[in-house]
Amino acid sequence: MTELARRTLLWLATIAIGVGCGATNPPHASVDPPPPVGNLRRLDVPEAGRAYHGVLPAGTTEPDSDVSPRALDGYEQTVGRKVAYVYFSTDWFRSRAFPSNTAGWIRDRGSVPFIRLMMRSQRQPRGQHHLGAPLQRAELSRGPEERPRLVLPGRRRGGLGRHLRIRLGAIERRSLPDLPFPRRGHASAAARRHGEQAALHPRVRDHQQQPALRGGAWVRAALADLVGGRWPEVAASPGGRSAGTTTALPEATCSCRMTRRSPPPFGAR
Amino acid sequence: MLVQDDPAVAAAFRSALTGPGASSVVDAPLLR
Repeated sequence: MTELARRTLLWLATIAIGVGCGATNPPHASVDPPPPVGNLRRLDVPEAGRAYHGVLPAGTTEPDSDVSPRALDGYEQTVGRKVAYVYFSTDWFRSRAFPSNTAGWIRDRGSVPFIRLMMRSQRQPRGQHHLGAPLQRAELSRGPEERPRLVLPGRRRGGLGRHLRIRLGAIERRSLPDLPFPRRGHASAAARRHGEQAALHPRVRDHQQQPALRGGAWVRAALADLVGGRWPEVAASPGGRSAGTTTALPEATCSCRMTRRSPPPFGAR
Repeated sequence: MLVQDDPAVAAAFRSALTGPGASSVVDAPLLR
C-alpha cells in the first residue's frame, strides 16, 4: 500500500468516525406532539344555529380553578339541562400536573373538560398574569383591547427572549405556526428597544394574516409537557388571538376558541 | 355567585334553556 493510499484510508476512517459521533439523534425535544392514538373521536360542531351548553361550576376556594360535582349538580338541576362541557382553570403556580381528577369526573359524567391552562407563577390583581418558570421572567398582561399581550423584560436578553426563540425555532421546524402571541405593534417599547423580537417573529405575523393556517401545536406541545403522555389525545388550538386556553378531551380531539371578545363555547372541528 | 344562588337568575337560565329556544342548546358533546 502506498503512502498516499494509506493516508487516504486514514482520512476516510477519521471522517467516518467523526460523522458517526456527530450523527446521534438530537435529544427528544419537549415540544414534540404526543403520538397519534387510534380510535380517536373528534368533537363535532353543532349545526348552524345551535350552541354547546357549558358552565363553570365554581367551588368555594378559587374563583375559576375550583370546580365541584356538587356545584354542577346544583346548576343542572336548577336549569333543567345537562352540560356539554365544564369549564375550569388550572394554574401552574398551584401545580403543573394535569388535572386528571377534575377532568376525570367531568368525563365520567359525559361532558367535556374545558381546561384553561394558566401558565403563570402567581395570581395577580388587575388581570396581570405572570408566566411560570421557565417563563417566569415574562409578564402576560392585557392589551388595550383586552387581548393577551406578552411583555418581555427588555434588559434580560438571555431570559425569556432566548427561551421563546428556542420554542419558536422548534415550532418552525415542524411548520406549526399557530401561536398565541401578539402581532407586531403589541409588544412593549422595552421589548422593541432591546430587540426582544421573539414574540414578533415574522412567521407569527404572517400566520396571523393567513387565518386559514391552523395549528395549535404549541399549546398541544405544552400540554404534552404537562400530561407527560398520560393523556396523549389532548389537543387544542388557541384559535388565533387567544392564549392559555386549551381543551382536553379524553375521548376526542378538538380545537377550541376562547377569546376575550367571544363567548366561551368552543368552536370545535 | 352561582346561578342557583339567585332565584331570578336561575329562572332566567331555566327559561332560556327549557323554553322555546331550548332546541338550539346542545347539552352533550357531539363526537364523531
